[in-house]
Amino acid sequence: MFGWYRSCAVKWVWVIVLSLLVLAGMAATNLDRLQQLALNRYGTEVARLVGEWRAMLPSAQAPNELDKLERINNFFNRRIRWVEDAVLWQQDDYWASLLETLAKGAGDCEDFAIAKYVSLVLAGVPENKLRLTYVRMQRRPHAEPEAHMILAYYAAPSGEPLILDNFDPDIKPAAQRPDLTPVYAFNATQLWFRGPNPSSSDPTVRISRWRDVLARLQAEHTL
Amino acid sequence: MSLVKRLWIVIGLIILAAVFSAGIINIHSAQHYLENELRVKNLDTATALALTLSQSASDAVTVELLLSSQFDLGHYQRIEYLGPDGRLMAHRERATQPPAVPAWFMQLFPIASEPGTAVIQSGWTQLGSIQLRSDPSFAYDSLWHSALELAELFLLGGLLVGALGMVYIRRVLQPLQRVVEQAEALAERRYLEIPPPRTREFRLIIEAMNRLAHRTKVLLDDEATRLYKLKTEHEVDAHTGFMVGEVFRRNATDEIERESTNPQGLLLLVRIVNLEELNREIGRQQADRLIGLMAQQMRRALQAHTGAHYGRLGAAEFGILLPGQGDSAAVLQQLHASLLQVEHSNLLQLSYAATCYEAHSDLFELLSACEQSMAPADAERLTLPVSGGMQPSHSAREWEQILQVALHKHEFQLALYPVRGRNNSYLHTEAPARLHSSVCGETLVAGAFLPWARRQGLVGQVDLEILAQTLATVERHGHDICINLGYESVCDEGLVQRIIAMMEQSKTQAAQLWFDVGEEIAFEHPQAFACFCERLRPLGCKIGIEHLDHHVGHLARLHGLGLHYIKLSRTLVQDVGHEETAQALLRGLCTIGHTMGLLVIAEGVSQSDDVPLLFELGLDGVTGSAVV
Repeated sequence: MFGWYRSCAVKWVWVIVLSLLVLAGMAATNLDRLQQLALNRYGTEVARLVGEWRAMLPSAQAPNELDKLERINNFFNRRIRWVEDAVLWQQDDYWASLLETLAKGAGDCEDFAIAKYVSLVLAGVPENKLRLTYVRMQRRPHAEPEAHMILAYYAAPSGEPLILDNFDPDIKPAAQRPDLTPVYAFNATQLWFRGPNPSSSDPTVRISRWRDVLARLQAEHTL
Repeated sequence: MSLVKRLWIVIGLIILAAVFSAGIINIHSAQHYLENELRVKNLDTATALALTLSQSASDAVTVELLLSSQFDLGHYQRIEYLGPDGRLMAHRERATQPPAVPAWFMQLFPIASEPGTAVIQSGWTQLGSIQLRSDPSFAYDSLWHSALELAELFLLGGLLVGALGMVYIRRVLQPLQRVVEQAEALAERRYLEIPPPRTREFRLIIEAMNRLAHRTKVLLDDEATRLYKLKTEHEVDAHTGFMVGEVFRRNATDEIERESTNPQGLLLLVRIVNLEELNREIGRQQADRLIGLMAQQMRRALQAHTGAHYGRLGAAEFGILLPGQGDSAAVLQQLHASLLQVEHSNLLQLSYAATCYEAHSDLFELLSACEQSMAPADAERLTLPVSGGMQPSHSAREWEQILQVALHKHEFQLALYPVRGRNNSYLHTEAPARLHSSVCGETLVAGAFLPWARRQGLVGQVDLEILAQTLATVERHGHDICINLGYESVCDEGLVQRIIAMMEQSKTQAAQLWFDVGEEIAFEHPQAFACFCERLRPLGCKIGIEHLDHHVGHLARLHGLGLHYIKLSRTLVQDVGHEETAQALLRGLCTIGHTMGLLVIAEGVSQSDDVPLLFELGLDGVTGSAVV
């Protein structure tokens, strides 16, 4: 009886795996489709900006990671304005996807960090070298400290990171940024979000902001 | 295997399949939910732990310490601390107690506990990552218990649905029992019509069988009516509806000689003295009309006397036989008074005569005695003819004594006469009851003592006594024995119950009993008779109609009762040797009887030459003085 059940179950598992593969194919990285989506959703202006972003994006085969960091950091720091979430999204805190940030042409610190992170991953930088890091920022002595997020790049696991920040347009080693105190760091590797399960259908996705934005990135063919 | 059982198995399988698949789906979704919860819990705990470590830990020892405390206090299967290069720096693992869940269940519904991962760092320095996996045994426990609860619920639900299903099937299939009964009745040639049920298929079957039953009944009815016409055409006078002279004499002789009916009674003669003048004065047609009215009035006047025979002995002469009557004066007075009420009765000149008869009286002597005592009557008075008034052989007091003693001392006996089938085979023994009274020293026949028993309310006891005798005789001789049952034994509910009780005590003998029921009882109390047949049939005894004569035309009415035989009266049988009509009648009756599944037996066969002819005509049995 259970043998029968199991063979049936095996059959069903195959059906599910095949359909998931189809779904995954639909959601996989495809920048042409991203651009098409931008055109459909936001119009030619945004599609053009996405085109520019694609032109800027370094090839994954290029060996020089520092160069990649430079280009991507500059692109976003120049083209995206810093605007608070409360103004931009009428929400306390909103983590925008790459396409949303490009569409608005604006974002706050998380949006910058996420856009850079995604772009770097697309440019072939291994994810375990990147950390989205919550930092405590004190721009001037005696001023009120601020909550901020930056993207840290670790060339080696036990070394000092380079900081990609939207307030300071230059990429600097952590030692040269005494105004920043790291609090917590994370990246996408710990979230197994590229598993076979379609993340957007998973109810637990919506609970975490990070997983939420990852799911949106996947849906927009960015990751 | 019965239909109900098969349907039951199907319902059971359906319920089982439904419950099973619902259970599997339910457990699967619970399994998925639990996996998700575990995954989120692992992730959240890993993140929280990593956050704490990132804030406070500066070296591997602190990391390990914090790790230990988290592990020792929490419900984890394994916590790992990996260095920045992915090397395992420290780990805690619990040899998990296998959950109290059967292994097959865990194999069937595995719960994957995916580890949660989070990176830790101190300042800008990476310390590595931690991986954390919760113990899934709680999840297994919970899944197993919810599966058990589900199974209990489904079992209850399944039982409930099964019970409801059973009730429904019973209701739906109820008509099937009736279909089977009807089909079995048809096989026994009982033509039952039953109300069609609502279920379409059953309704079609029952309607078809009803049509068959109805058509057969109509056919039988038509045939019986045709035979009755054939019988009565020659026997009945067209103007009065009385028997023609010859037939009256035959019937009257039969009545007087018959043992089972009252052996005493009255013979009345009524004569229209002035018929010739009447014909001249008012015309023959009017005279015939007047005679018809007279005949009707005579019947009406005497309708209280059951078993009366009416005959037109000549153009102006009428004979009436009243069994069981003794007071000739009262009867004649009543008759005359009633005839005076006929329209134009003043035109009639009537004269009357009456005489008593006893068992073994000769009809022709009686008739000539009457002729001689004929006395005229006018409107004012009736000169009573002088005739030997009946002297009752015993007074009421004597009868009571005779019967009480007979019941007490078991003085009833059975006279045995054989009933033969084809090739002289033995069919059964007819056993009329006799009473050898020690009180008066006489042997009394049933016709003599039964009317007195009836008057004194002892018929029930007498019948039971005779039944007991019969059962004893059956046991002694091993023969099938046939006895006669009177009105009370058939129609009195209490007596029927006692008869059944007595027969149930000796079941083997009961199956060898044949019960003769007179045609008057069967046709004039059809409901009581049907009820009687219904109740006695399960005992295995045989029930039939005896002395069938006047009611042959209604024979088809007996179709649904499950009777076994009919006995044709001697009046139908005795002229078979030389009358074509009698032969045609018997042949027709045999056809009807056989269609209804009845044996047809001829009574009162007195000429041994008639026996082969009767079998040739289709009769199944004969009895009478010529049969030994």
